[in-house]
Amino acid sequence: MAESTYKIVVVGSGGVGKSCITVRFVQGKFIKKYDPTIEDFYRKQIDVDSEAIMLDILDTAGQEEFSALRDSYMRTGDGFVLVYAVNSSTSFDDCSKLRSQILRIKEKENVPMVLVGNKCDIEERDVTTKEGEELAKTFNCDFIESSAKENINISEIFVKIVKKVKASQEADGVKKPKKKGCGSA
Amino acid sequence: MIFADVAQILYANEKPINRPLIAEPFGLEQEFGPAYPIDNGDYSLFQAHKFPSSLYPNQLIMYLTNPHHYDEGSTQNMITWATFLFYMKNWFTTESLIKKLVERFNIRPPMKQNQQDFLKYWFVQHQIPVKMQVLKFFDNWIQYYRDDFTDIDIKIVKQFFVSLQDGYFASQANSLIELIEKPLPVLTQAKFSFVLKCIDKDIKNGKQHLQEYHSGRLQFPMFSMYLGKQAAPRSILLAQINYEFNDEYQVTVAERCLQYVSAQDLQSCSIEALTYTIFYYLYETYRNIHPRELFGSPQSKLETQKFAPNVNLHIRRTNIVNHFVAMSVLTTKKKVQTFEKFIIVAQKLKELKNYDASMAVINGLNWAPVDRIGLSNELKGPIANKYQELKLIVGLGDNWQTIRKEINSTSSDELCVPVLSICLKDVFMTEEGQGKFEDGRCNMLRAFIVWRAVHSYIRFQAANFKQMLFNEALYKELCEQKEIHEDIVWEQSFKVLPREG
Repeated sequence: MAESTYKIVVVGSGGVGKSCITVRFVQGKFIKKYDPTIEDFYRKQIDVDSEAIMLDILDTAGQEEFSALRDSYMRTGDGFVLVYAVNSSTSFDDCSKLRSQILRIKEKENVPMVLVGNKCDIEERDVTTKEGEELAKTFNCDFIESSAKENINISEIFVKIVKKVKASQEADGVKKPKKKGCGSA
Repeated sequence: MIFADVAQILYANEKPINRPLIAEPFGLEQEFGPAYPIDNGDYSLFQAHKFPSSLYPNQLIMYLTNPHHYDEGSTQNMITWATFLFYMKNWFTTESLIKKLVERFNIRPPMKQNQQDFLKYWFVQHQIPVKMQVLKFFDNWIQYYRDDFTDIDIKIVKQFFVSLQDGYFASQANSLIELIEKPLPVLTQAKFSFVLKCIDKDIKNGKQHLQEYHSGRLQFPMFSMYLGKQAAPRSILLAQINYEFNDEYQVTVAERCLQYVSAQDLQSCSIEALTYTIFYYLYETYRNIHPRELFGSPQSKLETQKFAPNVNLHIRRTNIVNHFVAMSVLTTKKKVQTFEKFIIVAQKLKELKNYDASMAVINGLNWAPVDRIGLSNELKGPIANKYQELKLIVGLGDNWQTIRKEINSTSSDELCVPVLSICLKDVFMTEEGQGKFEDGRCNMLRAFIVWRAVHSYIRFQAANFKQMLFNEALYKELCEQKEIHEDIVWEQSFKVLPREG
């Protein structure tokens, strides 16, 4: 079956749990055949509004120190998941820098983005939900809190970002930019 | 307690203890496909016999030293050992592992001691082979990870070996004593190592020292990590690597880079010299990377960076190549020609199997500040196709399957430099996705997948280096450069094509 493919970039400071979100999403809870070298390891199909969407998750995990590569990830992405940890105000502050980097690379004033406050299972917070919501407002993006550890709102993050990407592409007059599979001519 | 212990050991010959062999054996050829379709010397690697994916620490030691679990002399045994030794710091301290091995060596007789025939059978068929395995295991550990042992540890194991000198295992004990007493190899600097003399500011004391910074290049041959014939990534002693950077000593990078990349200098450098110098610049650091620098992401945290000096250096050098390429293109008047020159360099690096350097050059050309000025649109004919092809290979779309396949089909004794960033990602995602322990058991499957990623990266380290044309001046320039802040590259890009454009 033909399906749209969206490239979703997960960014955030070190230690906020962004790769946990990726792993939790692409592999689910039970990891029987865990092999990050296989081609479709970072791919997962989800249904959004009754449409099958293939997601390519681009996670800079383990490669943050390679500056050109990091930019490459950002440039390739259709949508961005901007992650901070609710127990780290530094990671929260870093989100503004990361967003600026993304906007500079994309040379746009607005890109599809979801701000995620991860580790919401932790009781001792440095960043309140309200602060997260307010920052998301200034970014003109959606906001959600999650816990990769407890599997809270993980799929919802990706559903939200897919909706944003679709809306953005519709606004730009692009219907289905990347078709894969037979019959997609 | 003793008898129960022995019963367990006997039982272990047939099947694992407490845990049926159901989940994820090391039958990786079924699970993941063979890791390498490789040369004969490597053929049996990673086509391992079944091994439980996770075991309690005591079970793990029993498995590792169980002579009946493996065919005699099979490499599977060596692979399991290599995996364990590489990764064991996640589960054991040196002291605790020594203790467990000694306990295992002192294996007790079975409970029915009055059955003389059985006892005799057991001694010959089990006790002696187990003891031999333990000693062999010690031999491997000391040989490949000698720096795990502190002076106190050495004293303890030596005492243990000395206690065996008068008995059945005298010859093994003597050779182990010889091994542990052998002085650590002296790591000498190779002739072509670059030594940077510079002023090192001691900010705390307000003093300045003349400091020598070595590239950390070591002489070969060194140890072999496992017994894979030609495939012989050697172990170096992490504790002895003393390579440190000091951010204080150099002139600003932007200045340096702009000075160097006066177009004339670059134009005068032949494609071959440029290719071989960049090849060597990254090959040098690749060859020094210790396998244990690659797990646990020590490079990503300030407090642990000292445990991965060669990985850090290699990352810096990769970034410097990116910057060098990007700034070379952005600062010259002959932009398209320079762009094309680097495409050819990247292609040649790929043909020379230095995938890391090829990727660094392409990433420099494809970097957003360079890409936005639209030089790739001005390429025509075969060079345009070549650029698209190279971009596709290093691109993020297919989890680098093309590069992986090419590297996997390369024999370990060929000159090849795999891509560090891919290895680091594979290791990171494996470690992130699975715990060190699984319900209190040591997760050997995790260790194995990490080891496989690391091994596929370091397995070319011992290949023979062939002489190459080498531009010393360019090499020194590269060595003296620091990473540029990306804002500088962007500023340069905006000078070429203003933001509004």
